[in-house]
Amino acid sequence: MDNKPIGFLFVLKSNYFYYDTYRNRLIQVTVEQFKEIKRLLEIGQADYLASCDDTEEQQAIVKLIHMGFFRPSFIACEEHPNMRYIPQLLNRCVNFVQLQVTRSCNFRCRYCFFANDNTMTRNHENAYMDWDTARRSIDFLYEHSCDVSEVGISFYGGEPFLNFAIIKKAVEYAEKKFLTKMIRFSATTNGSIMDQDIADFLAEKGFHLMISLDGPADIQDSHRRFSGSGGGTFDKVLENIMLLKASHEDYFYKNVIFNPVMFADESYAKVLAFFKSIGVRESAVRKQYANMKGIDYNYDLFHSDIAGTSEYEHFQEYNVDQIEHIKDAYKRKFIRTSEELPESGCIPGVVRLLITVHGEFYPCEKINENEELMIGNLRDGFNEEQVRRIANLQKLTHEQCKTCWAVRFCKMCAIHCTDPEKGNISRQAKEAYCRVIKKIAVSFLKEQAERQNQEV
Amino acid sequence: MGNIFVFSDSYITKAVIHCIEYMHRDNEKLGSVYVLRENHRQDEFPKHYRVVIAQSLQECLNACDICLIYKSERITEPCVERIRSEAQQANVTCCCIDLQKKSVLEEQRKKKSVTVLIVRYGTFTQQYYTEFALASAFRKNNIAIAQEFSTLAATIMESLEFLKQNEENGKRGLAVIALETPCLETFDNDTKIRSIVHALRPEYVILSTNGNTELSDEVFKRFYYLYGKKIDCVVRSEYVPFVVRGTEPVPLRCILKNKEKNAKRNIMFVDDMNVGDLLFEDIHAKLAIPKDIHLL
Repeated sequence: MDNKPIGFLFVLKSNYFYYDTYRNRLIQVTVEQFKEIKRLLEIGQADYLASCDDTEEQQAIVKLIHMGFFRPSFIACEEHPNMRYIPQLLNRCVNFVQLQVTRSCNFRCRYCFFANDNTMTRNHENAYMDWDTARRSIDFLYEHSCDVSEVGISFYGGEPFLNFAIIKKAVEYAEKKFLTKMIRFSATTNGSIMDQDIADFLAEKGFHLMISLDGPADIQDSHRRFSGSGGGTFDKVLENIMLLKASHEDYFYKNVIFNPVMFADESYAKVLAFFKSIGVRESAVRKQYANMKGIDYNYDLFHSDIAGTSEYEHFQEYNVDQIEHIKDAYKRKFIRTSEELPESGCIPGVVRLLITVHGEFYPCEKINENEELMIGNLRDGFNEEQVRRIANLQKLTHEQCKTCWAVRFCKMCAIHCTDPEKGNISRQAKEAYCRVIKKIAVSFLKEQAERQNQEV
Repeated sequence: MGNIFVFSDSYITKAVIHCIEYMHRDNEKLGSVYVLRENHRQDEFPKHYRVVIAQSLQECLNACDICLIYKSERITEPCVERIRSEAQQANVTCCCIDLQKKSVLEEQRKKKSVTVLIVRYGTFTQQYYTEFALASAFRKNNIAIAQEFSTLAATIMESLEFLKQNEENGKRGLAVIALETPCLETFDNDTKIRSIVHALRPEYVILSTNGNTELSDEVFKRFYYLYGKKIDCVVRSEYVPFVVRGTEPVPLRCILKNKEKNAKRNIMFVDDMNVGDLLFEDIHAKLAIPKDIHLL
């Protein structure tokens, strides 16, 4: 194994810093020490120690070596640490199913992943889940959730409320079926289909509801239009939200959240002000930025100059999950074993299982629905080999991961490793996302370095 | 007496079934124990256990005379109420037992006899299994023991007392004591545990742990240097604490094909279902007095 240390050197505003991967520590060094560390990273510990002349800078570096810095690669594990539990997890720990009750939608949204302009994935179609498939999906969850005490059933689309009758039947069936477990029902809706009966049902069953409303009329209507008429959707959606709020205020505040989708040149302050004006708390608003992959390649997400923010602030906006993961990883000062790194994503099918209108299994709703990523179906059950392949993403780049300085910050998901054109998992796609993670990690370390300097 | 329907989460239900097996194996009046398919599969239980995996609640209530509901932190109040209400409608006697008692670390101890100490290390250790298995093994070999059970085991046994036929308990001789307060995981109770272990001076120590807690040399050394006694044997449960969502782990029932083998450590596995016999053999080999020698 390569004995060269794993770490990252950078300069920030004429100050010199080194991040050590094994110790998970960021240290500030002098310019002479910086040069020594650079040499050490290039030639490895053994050669460096052999060539030391015992200068003051070298003494400092040697002391750091004795403190555990500058260790070479410590990643031994080639597969996801939970691979050995996969059969049991798939048999006994499935705890959240998303039922794709329809592929039809009454909206045509500018940024929709399933928009007809998107060449990368399936498009909207007139397909509805029948009762037999819905019932068998719930039975599948029942049969494979022995060891969990809470299960989740989510309804997805298209626009799921277009098939509300099936949703209602599925909920009532699940409630009769599960006796020892809490069931958490949820749905994502565009808010256009609502009446008093639906509102009463959602409140009675305690549905966790996410309503896709992008903001005031000018924003909503420019992003989200009715599929038939092409007209704006704001008035109808707002009317339904008010109906729900008026008839079940307590439920509305506890269980309903909104996810406005924004473009970089839009003002979040304006969107937030709108939500507050209709009585929605800030904590119930979960913004996300439009992903135009496969729809409009001219749209560049990294418009930090438009937003007028620093690179780190930009990443905090656009890559919230990744930043949160890096912050969390950076805080952990204990040494994680080599069996735990790098951190792959979830075990497909266990944390989340998407069941399509035709009874096919996919890891989640964000993934392309193509055969390459299918992990089973209702008739045959899970395809364990496929689950393992998707869970074991680090195998794609294991040799690089072993010597990657950002390995502690890495949190990979199958979505990130999917080729945007072909829709399959590929090494190139993973490597491209690796570069993104490193960019975010560098930005985070620089932010930490700046903060450290200010405190001093 | 007939059949019993046991309702709880999968981990607790199994504890109850093992307890019933331990207390009432020879009770001819007792029929089968019914549990819900929602949480169990037939291959989880040894063939000689009288367990029926029911497809529905109705099946359980039709077949059983008594319904025992064990309220644990993984069972919600609405679930309990629902079962209670359905049982009442079906004229089935329903008893509700609250398992959410916290164990109290009893520090004042005196050594009375040769002692086997079972200590818990980790979560979902099925410590109760070792307690019952050992008690059964001694009973089978006609050796009277005095036994202090862990809180979970004791509470379940207490709930099943009304099913119990009269049985004499050994008051002298070997003592088996379960120390269920978490040890080695935190330093919070170290002083108390140390004083208990010093007071008891156990002759044999069993570490009860789950399926994936690492048993490094450090664990054994820490026990030895912190509490002053070496661990004689480890019993691994069938469960692995696994975080599926959030931070609370679930007890994932997991029998791995390749069980760890360690020349230095005496490791046993609950799913092998022979822990009692193996433990008895080992304890007997280490602690039994030869025939012609008498203790004064």
